[in-house]
Amino acid sequence: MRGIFKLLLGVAIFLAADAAAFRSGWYAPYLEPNSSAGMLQLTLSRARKHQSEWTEPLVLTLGDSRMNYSSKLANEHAAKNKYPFRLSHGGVAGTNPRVWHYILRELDPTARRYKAIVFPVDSFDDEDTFIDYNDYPIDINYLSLLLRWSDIPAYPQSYATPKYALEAWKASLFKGAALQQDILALFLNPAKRLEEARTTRDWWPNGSYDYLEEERSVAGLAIDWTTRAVTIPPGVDRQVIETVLLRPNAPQTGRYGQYRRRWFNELFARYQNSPTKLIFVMLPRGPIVRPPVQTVSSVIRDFAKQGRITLGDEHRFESLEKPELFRDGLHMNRAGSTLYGEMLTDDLQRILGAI
Amino acid sequence: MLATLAGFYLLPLSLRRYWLLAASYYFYASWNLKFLTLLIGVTLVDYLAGLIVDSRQGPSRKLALIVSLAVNLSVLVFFKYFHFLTAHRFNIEIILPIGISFHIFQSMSYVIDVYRRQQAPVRNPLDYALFLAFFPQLVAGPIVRARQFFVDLNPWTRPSTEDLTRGIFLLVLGLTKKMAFADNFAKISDGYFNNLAAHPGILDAWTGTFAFALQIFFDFSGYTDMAIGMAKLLGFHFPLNFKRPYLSGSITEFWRRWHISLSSWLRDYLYIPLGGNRKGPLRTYINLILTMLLGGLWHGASFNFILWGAWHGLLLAIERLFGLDKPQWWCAPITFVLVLHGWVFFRAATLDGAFFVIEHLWRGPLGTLLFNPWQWALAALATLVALLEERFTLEDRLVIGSALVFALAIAMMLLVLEIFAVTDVEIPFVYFQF
Repeated sequence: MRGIFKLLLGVAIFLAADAAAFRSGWYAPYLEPNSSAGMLQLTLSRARKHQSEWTEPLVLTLGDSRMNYSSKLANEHAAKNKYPFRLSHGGVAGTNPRVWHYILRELDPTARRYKAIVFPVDSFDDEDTFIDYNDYPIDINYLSLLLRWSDIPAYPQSYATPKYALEAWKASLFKGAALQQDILALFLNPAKRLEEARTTRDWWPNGSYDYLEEERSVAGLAIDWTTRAVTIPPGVDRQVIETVLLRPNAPQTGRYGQYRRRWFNELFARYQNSPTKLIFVMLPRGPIVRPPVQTVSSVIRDFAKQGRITLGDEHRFESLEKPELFRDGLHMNRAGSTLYGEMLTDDLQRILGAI
Repeated sequence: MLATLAGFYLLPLSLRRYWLLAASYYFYASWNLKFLTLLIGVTLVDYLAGLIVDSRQGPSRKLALIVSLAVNLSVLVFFKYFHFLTAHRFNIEIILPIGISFHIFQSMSYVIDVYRRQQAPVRNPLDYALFLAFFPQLVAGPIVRARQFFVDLNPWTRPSTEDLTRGIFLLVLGLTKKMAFADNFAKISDGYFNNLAAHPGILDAWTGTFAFALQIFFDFSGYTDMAIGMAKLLGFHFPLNFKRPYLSGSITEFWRRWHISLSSWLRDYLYIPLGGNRKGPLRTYINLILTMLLGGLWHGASFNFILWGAWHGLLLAIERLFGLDKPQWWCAPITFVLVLHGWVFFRAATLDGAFFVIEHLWRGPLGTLLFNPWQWALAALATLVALLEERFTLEDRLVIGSALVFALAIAMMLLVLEIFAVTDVEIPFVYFQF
């Protein structure tokens, strides 16, 4: 028994050391800034700065890399029109509702810090793609620092593949193991990493807020959907366009609907008795819109019918869906993102005023 | 492993050995059910041989020994050396039963010991079966002698607190050695030895070979640490198999510290029967070289292993010839460099590859170091721990020391494991192939 006691004491010391280094926030500033976890931490720190420095009611926007609405210009537009809110962006490239749930848990533990939270989506219907988000291991990288002991077993159990579930267990239990690649990269050149992390940390809050998208566009891009022939303008990456816009339709099985239902339910549960409004808006879907797919569910519309969320105008941003306003097959360029930011703030003012 | 441990301690005392046998057979069968019959076959032959050798007098006693040795060696030769001896003329696929070299040697030593009257025959066939199949050391040793095993089995006594503590310590240490050290160095040595043409530099050759030296030590000693640790938790005491071999001051000392259970087996059952050092200097040198050559061949059927064994045999003979076999601490770096040259033959896939590396250890463009800063740090940490262990017997102090100090050591190992363990690729134990 004494041997077992010594072992357990050793494990306890190990867990305490792991927690002291990685759960206390001590390591977070030294994360590789361009990594998934590093980018998420930078975004959280910017949003926290907004919480502490801005006096106006805040509207938090989430989303992935397509949610590039030129924050500074959008807020200048809101201020000029005397809208009673400011947009603070908490979205991170490559993230989805599962990650948003944990972002919100960090940024809004009381579920009362924001006037509204905006969820941008490319469709209110649940189109299945060949990516199964239920079993999306990249989420573990984003969440490696945010997961808590209390997320066991729910978070690991959200993965169907045992290998991913095991990774999720590891990320929830052992932070050092989850951040192993980041730590080893730090050991390769500690001075360089610390300098990069410091520089990025200093630049990020204002630099990313002021950032304006590239001006280049895919003007001239055309697709004949009957023949699937593509006209690619010079200088535009054909492969990217084809991968994004000409991807084959996946069988519609309802997997994505299940995923959305599970994670939005989890997320909305925290806001059940909160004054914070949950608003879903459309993203401009692309420089050219793919033909519609017959989906089997529409979880977001169902939530709206239940009165748990508010939907923006589904067709509000269709005017932005043209090659001149996109820099590639997915992302708006400077002109597009500026227009989107202005239209979004107008729309939010309309919705918030009407609620 | 946990289920085996739990079952072992929950069952009545009289059933525990059978539980261990069932677990060992299950473990072996889960790799390959067919080869379990081979293991049982060898068990039966040597169990009966032990009884006959003990009970008979005269020629039939010797005949039983010869039959037993012939069966064991035939099995070994067929599975390990058939293609080598027939120059690959027969197009048949032979799968090497896992751990065959270890349990065949273990079984042979039992029959020889009974023949020499150094070991009483085992009466219970299931006890003998457990001796050969005991799962912690079934696949890669250490090669346990019958008297070491049965003194713990009959009568079995509950492990002491120190045994339990040391067992836990060795399990964590072994896991750390394998996953955090061996596997990281394996990535370097594999990168080098699997693509020699891309690494023509001197520094590549030295660091690639150095990485393999570290890999094989941490890999094999990590496995045996876990085997010894697991055995301790079950109340068995296995002999030490590694004793900081790279700090050896001579090749003679190296073989007293490296894979001790094999080198002592070769000494007791090959070198001494060949005449050892009792038949004059020349025969001593020949015996040394022959023993090491066969030791090399034990590892596998290839000229690389033969040359590796011959290299060590030659060095042992030279040390004996010039009286250099008394270890000197300042000779440790020279000994290590000599051992490194041997590892080239052990690791290279072909003889040409081995000579390419040997040449580039001494000639060619300067090249690049294959270690990154933290891999150097791991190597330095390992060296520091080895030196401290050599000087202060750290392990003993930790095991018998205060709970807090022991717990801190466990925590340190777990942290090293957490940060450095290789989990993106599965790297098998080196000695599983033997």
